[in-house]
Amino acid sequence: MIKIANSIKKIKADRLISITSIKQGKKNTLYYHFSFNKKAEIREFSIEVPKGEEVESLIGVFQNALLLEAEATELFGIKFKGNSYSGKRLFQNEGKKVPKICSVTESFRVRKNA
Amino acid sequence: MIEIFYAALLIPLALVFEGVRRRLVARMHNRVGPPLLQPFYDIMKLFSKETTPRKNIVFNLVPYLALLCSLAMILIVPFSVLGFDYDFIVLGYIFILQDTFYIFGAVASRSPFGMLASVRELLLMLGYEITFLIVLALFFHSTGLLGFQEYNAELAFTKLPFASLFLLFTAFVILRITPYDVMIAEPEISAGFFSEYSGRSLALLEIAEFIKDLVIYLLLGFLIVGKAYALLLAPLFMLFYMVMLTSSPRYSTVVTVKTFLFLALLAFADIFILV
Amino acid sequence: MHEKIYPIGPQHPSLKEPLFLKLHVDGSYITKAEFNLGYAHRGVEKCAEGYFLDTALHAVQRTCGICSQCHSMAFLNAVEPMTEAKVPDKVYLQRLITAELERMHSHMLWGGVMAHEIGLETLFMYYWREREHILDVFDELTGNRVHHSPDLLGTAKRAFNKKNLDMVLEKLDLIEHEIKDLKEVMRSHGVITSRFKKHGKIPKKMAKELGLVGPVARSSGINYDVRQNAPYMAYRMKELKVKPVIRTGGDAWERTMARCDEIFESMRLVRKACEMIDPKEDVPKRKNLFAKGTLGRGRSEAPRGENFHFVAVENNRILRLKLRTPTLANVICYSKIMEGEDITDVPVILMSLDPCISCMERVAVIRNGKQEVWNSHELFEGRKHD
Repeated sequence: MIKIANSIKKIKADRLISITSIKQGKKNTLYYHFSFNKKAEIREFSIEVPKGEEVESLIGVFQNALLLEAEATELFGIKFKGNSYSGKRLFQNEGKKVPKICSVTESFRVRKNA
Repeated sequence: MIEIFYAALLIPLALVFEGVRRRLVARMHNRVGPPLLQPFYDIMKLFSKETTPRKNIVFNLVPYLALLCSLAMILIVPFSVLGFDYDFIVLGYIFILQDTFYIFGAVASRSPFGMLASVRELLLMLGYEITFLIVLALFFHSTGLLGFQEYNAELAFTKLPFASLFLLFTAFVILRITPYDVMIAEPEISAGFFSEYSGRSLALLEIAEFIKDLVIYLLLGFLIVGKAYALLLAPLFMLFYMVMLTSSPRYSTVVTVKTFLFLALLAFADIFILV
Repeated sequence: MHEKIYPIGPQHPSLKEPLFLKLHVDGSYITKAEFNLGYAHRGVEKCAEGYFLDTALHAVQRTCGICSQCHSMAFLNAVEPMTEAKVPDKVYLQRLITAELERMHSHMLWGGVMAHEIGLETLFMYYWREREHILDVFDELTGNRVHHSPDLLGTAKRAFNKKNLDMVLEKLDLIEHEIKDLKEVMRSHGVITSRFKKHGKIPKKMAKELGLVGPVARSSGINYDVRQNAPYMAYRMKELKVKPVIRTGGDAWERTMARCDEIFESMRLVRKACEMIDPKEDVPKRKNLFAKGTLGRGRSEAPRGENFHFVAVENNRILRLKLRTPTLANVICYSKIMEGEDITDVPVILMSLDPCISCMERVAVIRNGKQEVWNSHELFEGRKHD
């Protein structure tokens, strides 16, 4: 598990703005954006996450990390230890097959006769 | 016999009244509004849509029973096709019966919105039922007559000012004008009573509502001003109620119930003064 | 005691967009609230991937109907410094005028919807009638009433001439008196004050901990507005300095008043900007710009708060685009403020936080008249770039 919560607590940021993950080839990089001081300067913090590793969740430090981390989990499969958000954030139906592609007029005719 | 024909004509007249009402409210909102015959188009469209699947016997029967109550109302009030002694008590009973059928339907629909709507409607019924029956009895007691067929008092509001006032207030709840429409409050409980009906059942419920509205407007004119002027004065009463509708928001439920219980107490006091 | 679950959404007359709130209800009081999102996810981030910057701008501008200009400005704030574009002042002022007019129309839309929640349909219709004047202005300035996209990378699609600016000022004079009257109704109508005050209270400490943004945070006492703290584009000019509306209290009525006041502040900015524009100047022609550098971050002030875009560029194409909309930042407080409230107050509280769910989030791609629906695996593994 990659531990980041303590070092981020020491930075003493005002607010967590967003958590993004970028996948290039097989490499997954997590970017954290924080806002500091009255001028609301943005400072960035990035870590590389190897495949299969868990990252420590920031919920103890910033409460709004709940949804931001859930998005990274749903899209890229990065697991955050300590984040127990069970609701769906982006995708409602998982794992269904792609339906057969048909034209819009054909699907209307099928629905009307059903 | 010709009276049955007049009473049957009231059904399309109720739909036209509803069309005029919607246009009037739209003009007060600074917009154009639907065409005058819009309720006809709505009812025809609703008949062609699919009905919700059969849930249970009460849920399916309620629209037909509510429509029967509305048709019974037309037979009594303006043209007295069926007139008998003490038929004003039966009229009050029919209004309350129709509301009870709505509550049955809402509870039988087993949706959380229906449950909430039925609870609110029961609370309000406590208030307006009593007042309505007392006021009707006062009107007939003062003339000494016993039924709608024989009623001939003219300008009754000069002799019974408070009873007329209470009748006007009670009509607020029966017509579901805004402070007192907590049971079909759209944003809060998504039209609780009617949210589970669709298609033919909803069409019948809508027709029942339109007929009930027309009967109330006619009843007000009948009792307060006079038998002959009922039809002429119905549009004026509609205008008054629509001005009240467009200018008031909903209060919280507790406040609305308190106002009606207060009115019921005043009506009780009115019996002793007979005014 | 009996505990039931009362669902608000995904389809509900009080919500303008789908959102699922599961309320655990005891009688008529709420004991717990959970929420579920994702009903309107359209995959804008995926749609922009792999395209050149101009094409991606086209997708980003259509994220939301009500706040389309603020997304465009945040994206341009992120990308324009990476290119070597010299943007003239007139383009910045044009963008400011569209953005502030958008703020006005969004708050008016919101004001009408709040009135509809408590049953005052007349106020709803009056607010939306005034809003029609602003949509006419958009039609004149940009050619479109809703998804007005007047921006290009480094320039604008057309220059405003004297006739456009005169029309803007004329329409503002027309609606000013009416909006003052409508604000007075919101401020002093007895039923509105009794139903809005003391409901949905967000104390200042909670707002700071959860990182809330926008008028929701500003009416709890937090002094944060992107236009004031980190000014961008035309807000850097000293005549166009923004004075944000700060209130204390944090309940639904304070949020209503804050938004009503912001309309007047925007009006002042638009009038000042119309004076400062030179109507005879022309905007530069569209050029193909090459983006150097890899990462860009941009912010803008949407009508609902701070909008943040993070852009990763590779070889002049977009590798990853991340939008963090203000509603996403505020949605975390929905479950906390509902506890202890009555069900009748839920629509009022929910709308006073002004959710714009379509900004937040099924990809249904329509190509050549055929429709395809993807699930998450297809989305991120199997897409080929055009």
